[in-house]
Amino acid sequence: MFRYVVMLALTLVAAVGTAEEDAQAKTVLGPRNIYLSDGADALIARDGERGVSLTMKGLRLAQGLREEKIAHANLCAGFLMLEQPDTALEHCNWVLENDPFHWRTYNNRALVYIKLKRFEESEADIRRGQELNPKSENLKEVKGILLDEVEPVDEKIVIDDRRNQPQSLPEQSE
Amino acid sequence: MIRWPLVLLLLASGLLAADDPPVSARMIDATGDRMPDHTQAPNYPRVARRDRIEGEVQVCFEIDRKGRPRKVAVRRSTNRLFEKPSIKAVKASSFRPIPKGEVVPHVKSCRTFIYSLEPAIIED
Repeated sequence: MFRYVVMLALTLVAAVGTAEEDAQAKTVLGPRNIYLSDGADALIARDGERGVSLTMKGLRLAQGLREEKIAHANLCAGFLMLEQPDTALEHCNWVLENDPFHWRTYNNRALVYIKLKRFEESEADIRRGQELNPKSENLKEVKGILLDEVEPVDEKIVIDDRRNQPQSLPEQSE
Repeated sequence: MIRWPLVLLLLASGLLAADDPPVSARMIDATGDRMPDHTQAPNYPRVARRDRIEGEVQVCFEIDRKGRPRKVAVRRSTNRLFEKPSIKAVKASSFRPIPKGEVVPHVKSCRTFIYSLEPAIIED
């Protein structure tokens, strides 16, 4: 049975919430939403359970659209890691309803659609993501995954020595 | 003010099943001035496969008395992605040695690698 490679390329919005120096007082501020920050770290470490749990807490404490968007974007990735594509889709949709230019979420939703076997929607998301970020390697990875699903290929390499074109070289002494 | 740096991650995950792809390598001809001893097939470059790129590379080289390829160089190629694996494959190949006392033919050999992708046959 022929089988083919499927790789997964997820993008995460790293809600690091790193301390930022106040230019005037040189005071170092801590992260505003530690749960979002730790949740992102857990997801980066591919700990889906912990990442989702922390990010959910972070979402409850989110202040403003920006933090909510980060939380939903990472929950989309996290639930996909947990193999819950339907839940992941809800979070991706939330992000894109509030920010239709968020290429990372198009990337992740395309993966969700692949998981759900909704290949045409996946292709549309990849196309939209590439319009927003044409150089994204992640989107190329996702496109490769999609192609492997819809048009799988086998690699073939022919080694052809027939075209030898020997050329006389100067005599070399050994 | 909080800064939210965006970090792009590439994660390889087991969410979807992954297996090594089958690679078919075929030697068309082995006739030449020097008989191949071991012919190494190159790997299909991952990015080329991902992006569905096919191509062809011709690598030319000399062969020393012991059968090792020397002065390996790309003569022509349709895509640079295929050059490195082709060179690596030639360098990992060997030819039958020439016994002492016999003359080593000083000719350049060339080997062409044709990388292609064919629709996979999926069997249930």
